Formats: sequence, C-alpha cells, structure tokens
Amino acid sequence: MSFTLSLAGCSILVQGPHVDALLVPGLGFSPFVDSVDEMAEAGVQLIIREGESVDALSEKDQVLNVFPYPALAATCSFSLAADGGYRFVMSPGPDSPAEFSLPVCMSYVMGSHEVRITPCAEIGALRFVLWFAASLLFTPLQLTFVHASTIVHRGQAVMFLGESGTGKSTHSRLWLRHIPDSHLLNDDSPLVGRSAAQRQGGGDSSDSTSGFDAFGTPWSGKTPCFVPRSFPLRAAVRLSQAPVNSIRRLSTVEAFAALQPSLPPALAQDDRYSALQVGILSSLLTSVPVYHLSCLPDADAARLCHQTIFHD
Amino acid sequence: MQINTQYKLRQVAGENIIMLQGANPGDMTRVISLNDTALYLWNSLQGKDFVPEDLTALLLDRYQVEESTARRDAEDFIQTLQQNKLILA
Repeated sequence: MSFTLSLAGCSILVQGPHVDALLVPGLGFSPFVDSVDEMAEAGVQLIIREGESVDALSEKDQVLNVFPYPALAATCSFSLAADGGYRFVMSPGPDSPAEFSLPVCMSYVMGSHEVRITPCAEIGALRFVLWFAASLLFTPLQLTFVHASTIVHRGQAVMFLGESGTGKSTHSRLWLRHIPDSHLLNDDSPLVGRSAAQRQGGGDSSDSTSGFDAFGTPWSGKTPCFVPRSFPLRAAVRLSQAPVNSIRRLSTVEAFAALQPSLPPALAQDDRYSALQVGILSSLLTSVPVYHLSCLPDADAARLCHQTIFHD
Repeated sequence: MQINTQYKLRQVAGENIIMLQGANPGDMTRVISLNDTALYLWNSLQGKDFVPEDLTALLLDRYQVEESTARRDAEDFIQTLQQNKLILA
C-alpha cells in the first residue's frame, strides 16, 4: 500500500502495510495526496517505508534525546548510531493503547532520502513517527518544522511562537475574528524554508517578499487545518502573557534566541542537525523580522500586532 | 584553564553567537553574542590552556590600549565565560 504526498515542493512516497489508514479524511494527509504542484515532478523524491526491519540499537550508539509523548503514554528516543546513521524509537508504556504494543523503530542515513520504519499498527503513533521522519528528511533540504500557529493575511504568512499554553492558537483566532482577509494555515507545525522555486535555482529575484515561505502540513495539532499551499513568510512573533499589550522588534541575536527553541528540539541535540537548523535560521533572519508581543488575549492585541507588522 | 569545547561558535545573519545549555524545550534559548574583540579572544584561545595574562597580552598585541585597560577587559571576558560555564578550570 502506498501513496505520494506533495509537501513543500517535495514528493514523498509513503509505503507500508499500515499506511492506508492515514488517508482517512480528517487525519490530515489526504489533502496533500496528489495535490496539484508543478514543482513535485522536478522536485526532490523522498521515501518513507513502513513495515521494514531496522537494526537494533547497541551500547555503542549515542542517545541524543529522550522525551515523553503523553498523548500515547509513550517514550521517544533519538540516537546517533555508531555507523553515523540516526535511530528514532517510540516505545509504548503500560497506559498506551492496545494496538500500540511494540516499539516502533526508525532508521535514517543523512543524504539517503529514505527513512525505514518497523511495522506500526497504531495510527496516532504512525502520524507522529512520520512527522519525525519528515523532520529528518527535510532539514538537510533547508526546510524546518516550526512549533507555531500560523495565519495568512492578504496572502502573507505570520507565525506565532511560544511555549505550549502561552496562547498561540488563541492569538490566531483573534486575527481570524478581528483582522479582515485572514485565514489559518496551520495550528501547530508548519514547514518553513525558501520557496520551492528558489530552492530549485529558479525564483524571481525581483519579488519583494522575504524569499521564505510557510507551508501547510498534515500536522496541525488539535485543529484540523490541512492546507496544501504555501505563502510568503512576512514575520514571526513570539508571544508572552502580560497585563498590557506591547510589541517590540527583536534584534538579530534576540530573534535567534526566540526562534531556535521552536524548531524540533530533539534534532538540536545532534551536531549536524543543529548546524543545519542554525543555517536555516541564519538565512531566514536576514529577511524575516521577528517581534515579541506581550499581550492579553484580546482584540487589541491582534490589532496592535497587525498594525506593527503590516503598516509600520 | 580552557574553553569548554562543547560550545561552538555559530555565524547567524552576521552575528557571532554561542548557544548555552537551554532550559526546557520552548523556553527562550540562552545565547551569548560576541563582539569583534570577544570573537578575536575566543578564536585565539581555541584548543589552548591559558591564564588571564595570556588574554591581556593578546589584547595589547592587537589594540592600542593601556595595560590596565587590557587587563580589566581580559578579566571581564573571563568572568563572562565563567558565569556562563564556558570555562573548564
């Protein structure tokens, strides 16, 4: 069983005994299947194979990051194998769903364009494992996931960043309600990178936008917002809660400190992936302004943010 | 003393940045930004075992300053590194 996703100008062949279950409407993947994208033919071909066998971890491998996945009561670990390849393992715990009874292991060699995954019958685990696979595949292609809620206003994307619970989704909803010509692109994990045309050596250098795009993805957290489109990235805004609304443009160093924690944290523990992430941010920060908005969850916060980004 | 080799200098959009050990994912990453003088000292000390007098000498070598100024700047630089745990004794 297989299908091809078109995502950020790349074709991803997803193949395996359990992958058909991902095409159920509402899970996020079907809008990206065979979506019209002239770039896909000429673009990078990536492959994700589920149902494979993967070498077990050994003591020689270096564990880079261990983190919980509470939604499935699971534990994840990301390692650098002794042979230079990467391993990601998602292990069920005593409270995990019955279908998720065995660890799922993933193997990837940077530059190989192919990720192998052991059989995974639990749909939630498979969705997350695919997200992790995509982050391993995309980062060397100068594309990164960002933990953000992202709206589009008059054709330009604005990302809202911040720790979980600080109000990213709330702020997006305030834009949708109070700022005309706004819609949601993604509520949890868009991709960001140079536009597909620019990455393939084309692109219009007289374009006045930043040259960086935000891409809708199949992963949108709790909000089913699956948009197989991209928009020029106008700005990023880090949010924090405060009793009064105020906004400030960040310096390059501050902007880096604001954005870097919103990139996939497990990858930042690896030297090669960290360098790739820093490289993407370095490019992005030369043309995308980053702000810090201290705010209440009210309409004025959205208006202040909109006014500053689009009219100042 | 030596600089902890775990910490790498990164070029980010024209700035020279060192990422410090973060807190939790999602918290602001703590970074140090090096100006030209700090960058010169950082690069000169890579892989070397040094004492504060070495930094004073490096500064006098490169800049037209009084020795007392160079010594103070060297001490400030070492203190910043120590406060941020970038130095191995």
